Amino acid sequence: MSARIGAVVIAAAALAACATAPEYGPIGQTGPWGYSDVQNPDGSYTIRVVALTSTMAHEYWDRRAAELCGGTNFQKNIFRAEIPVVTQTGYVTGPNGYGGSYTQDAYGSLIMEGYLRCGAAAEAAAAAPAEAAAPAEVAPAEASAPAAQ
Amino acid sequence: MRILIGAIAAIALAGCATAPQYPTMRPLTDAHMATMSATPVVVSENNNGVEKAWFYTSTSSAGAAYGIIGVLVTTAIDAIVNAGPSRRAQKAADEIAELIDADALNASLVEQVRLQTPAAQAEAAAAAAAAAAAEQGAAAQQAGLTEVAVTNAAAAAPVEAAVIPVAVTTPSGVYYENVTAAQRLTARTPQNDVVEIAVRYTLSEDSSTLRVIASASYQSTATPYTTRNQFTGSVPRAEREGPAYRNTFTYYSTQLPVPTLTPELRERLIANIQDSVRDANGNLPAEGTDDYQSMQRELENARDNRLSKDEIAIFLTREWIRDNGAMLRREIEQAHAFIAKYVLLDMNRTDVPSMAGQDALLETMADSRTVRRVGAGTEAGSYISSAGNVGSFSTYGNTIGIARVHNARIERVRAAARNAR
Repeated sequence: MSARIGAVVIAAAALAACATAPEYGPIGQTGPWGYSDVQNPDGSYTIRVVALTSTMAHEYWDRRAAELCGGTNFQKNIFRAEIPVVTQTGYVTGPNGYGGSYTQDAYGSLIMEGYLRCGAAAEAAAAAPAEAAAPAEVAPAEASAPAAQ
Repeated sequence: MRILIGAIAAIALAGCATAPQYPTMRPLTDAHMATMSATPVVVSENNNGVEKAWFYTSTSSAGAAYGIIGVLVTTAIDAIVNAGPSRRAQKAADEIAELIDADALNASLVEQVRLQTPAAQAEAAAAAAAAAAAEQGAAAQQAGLTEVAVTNAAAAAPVEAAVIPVAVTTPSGVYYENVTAAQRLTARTPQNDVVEIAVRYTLSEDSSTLRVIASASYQSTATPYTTRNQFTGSVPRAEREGPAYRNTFTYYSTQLPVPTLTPELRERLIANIQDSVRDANGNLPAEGTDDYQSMQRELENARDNRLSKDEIAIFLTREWIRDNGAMLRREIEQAHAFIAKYVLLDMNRTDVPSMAGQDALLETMADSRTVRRVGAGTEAGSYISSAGNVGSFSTYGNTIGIARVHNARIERVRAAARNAR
């Protein structure tokens, strides 16, 4: 196998995760985006989602909540909504055949975490004002290619 | 080509190579606790004040393939792109420092820690008892009780003015003996046999949230650290030295609502950008200069139909400093109270955190704020106090702006340390 083919194979393997389109499901099984949850000792759940946009984060969170509660009658308390900064390193080749490595920061995927209590009044769920603020809040993450956590 | 393969392989493996596989939190042992008992607390003086987070945009990837020319071009572009955000972050930090400087932050933390000492707790209990007795007396008088009962109540009422003897009981386990502040910026060795607390205060990129992170540690030559984490091979060097106790405590303020972009807001934003680059005579930068290009870029961004994080910050920073910074002061005090309380509680826990545990919800307040202990990962064992029903996504950038007064303070401290050597 020539060195060139070897490079292509390694690069393809390294980039495989990045090429996967977001798909609803547990984190890890459907790629870097999705949800994870755990039941707390008091019977409530903690749901964590990793998503590309604010809208997707809320959709995933609410969908998982509905699955766990068997309907939309639940109370949620989002305690974390964060876009971490991740450091990316890479190597680029120019048209002249020469290349160079670089290191730069970028916004990562959106992380949202909250408590879910099934059967409780849904007013608190309706109180989350995230959608109204979406145009400003999603801008950084969508402006650059988000990196998976 | 081999170099290319090596570089790609190195990048692919980089993520696997560095992360430690054990929690950074170090709990005390029973032996440590017995030795420590009453322990002085030293608040490591904060010098940065409230920092303003911002995102330094780098275009280095675009120029990486073009050698020195690429570096020069991207450096110039970066300077123009980042001039505006940098200046705004600096301005926000300056505005906040005018109201609350590092000394005020340090004094507030010292006071909140002092309130957790047995002496202060006893004083508070006595004051509460006196207030309760006075209230009981007043209630009894209002209810028109029998003469005997009123007499009894009257006897109780003057308690408000009287001095109730303060009985300081010695708590079990580790407790704060006293608290002082110390300048540790240039310190090279850890302090012996004291609990050291260092805190950072950072406003998010859009200024919607204040994040307060405290690091607490304890180290003593009498009781060196011995790891209780399990390792398959040899114990890493980092786990064979350092403090006997270590943990972090993070407080997130209540989030300010992000403003909606309206034509009026856009005009205010444009005016703000122009005001921030005017010289002493009120003139805008001359055409063709770097400052002019930077301003033009900011104005272009301001005229588009979306508010960026640092544009939002212009408006939300003002919300924090409104009413003499009342909201900021309140959040800082709450953060300090959380830190003082939970550091003490945590030092009396001996549980070793694991990489695969579960978060523990410790407290839920009336406003939906929660306090939880992280259960898994390298942050396992750390504490987080989060506001409830968080609305927008916060980011804390990759750079901070520090107020000019605090930069000057840091310089003074460093100069004094140099002169002392």
